Amino acid sequence: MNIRSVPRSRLFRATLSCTILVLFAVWGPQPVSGFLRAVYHTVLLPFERVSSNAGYFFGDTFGFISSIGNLKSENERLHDENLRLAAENATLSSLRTENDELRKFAGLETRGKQDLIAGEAVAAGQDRGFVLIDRGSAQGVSTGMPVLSASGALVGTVNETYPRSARVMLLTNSESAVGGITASDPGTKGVIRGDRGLGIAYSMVLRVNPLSVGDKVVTSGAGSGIPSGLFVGTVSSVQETEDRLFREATIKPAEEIGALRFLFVLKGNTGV
Amino acid sequence: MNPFFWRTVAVLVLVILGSSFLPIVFGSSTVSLATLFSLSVVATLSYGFSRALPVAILSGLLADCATLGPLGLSAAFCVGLVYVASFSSRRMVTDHGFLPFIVSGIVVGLSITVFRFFSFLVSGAGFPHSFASFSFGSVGTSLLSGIIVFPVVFVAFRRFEVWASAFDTQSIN
Repeated sequence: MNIRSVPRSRLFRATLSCTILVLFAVWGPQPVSGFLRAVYHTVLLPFERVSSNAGYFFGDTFGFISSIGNLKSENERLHDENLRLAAENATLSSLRTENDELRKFAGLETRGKQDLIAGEAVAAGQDRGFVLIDRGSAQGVSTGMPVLSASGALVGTVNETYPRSARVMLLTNSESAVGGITASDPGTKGVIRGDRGLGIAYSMVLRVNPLSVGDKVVTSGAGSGIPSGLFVGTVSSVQETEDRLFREATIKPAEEIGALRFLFVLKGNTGV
Repeated sequence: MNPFFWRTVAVLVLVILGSSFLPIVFGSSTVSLATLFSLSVVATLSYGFSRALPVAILSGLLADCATLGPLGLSAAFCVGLVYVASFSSRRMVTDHGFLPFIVSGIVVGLSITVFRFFSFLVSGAGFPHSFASFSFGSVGTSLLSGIIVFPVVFVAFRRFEVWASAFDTQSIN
């Protein structure tokens, strides 16, 4: 073998390229990656919008065709749920009035409406629990803001902003961690964490605290800058950790988080 | 117009479809990854290692930008696939019937499975979580996607090359 040909060999070039790329992927400076993503998504956002709209059209069409067989049972289920929610809404309205009166009596401001920025998911990450929304720093979106679904449930937080778009880290992302409590017992504190991009786990719950299937989990407001009381999902299974100190639950979100089209960035609450 | 321009546009279109169309229609990124990895293999079979390498790096980096992941991981896998595919010749898929398509599809599918593992690892999930990402369902879906997507990408690429070579001829004349 000619010694001079060794550096030019395919193996050398492939290994060198792979090493540089992997090193950049693992230890690459975040500002450089962020800048390149910002350029890409700023220039190509209109094309991403067209492409995602076509995707939603095809997805909705095929989804409708495949769901025709279930329409009757789905209609009945939704009718029952509608009746249940109407009753719950009536109860909550009276409780809200009562709460406002009590807050006035205690000298506290009444809770205001949420200031939301509506956006559309235009690109999805590779199973890593990210989506790109078409609202960015130009529209007032900034890093750390909570992102909600149309029903008001928390789905993630803004992780990186670009001029006209933003990267949202979904709750299913392994790197996502938000403080949580159960709605029925605010003392049952835990951490809402992403489970490998596939689901949501509610971990670090002390064994002494009550936690059972069906409990609703909401944000605690501790730490991460996310306000308290945002609905996350319902506990679908509970198991003990190996050290038997804590319990861990699987949370079933209100909607399929990765498939949401319209998302709302919570800019802030007016009032308290 | 410069044929290089059209080839870059084609890669961009593929990357945009892979991040903004296919995941929405299919509800997962498996098909997008299969498309990206198939492009690397098909480009190698058509152009050879030296010409396919920049295409793979470019498409991988663009895909990483588009899919919001760690910049360089997809590109590294594309380079790996180019190296593996460079041991085959174009005649493999043109002269030997359907079996090479299935073999190439399986290679693409296995690459998706390994990519997922490293993707979790790079995101800081650790070895136990990365291993837990394996399931018979996901591996099967990856293999199936590779087997189905590879011939589609191959045919589309060859048609595009015929169309783009017309520009090459015009620019020479």
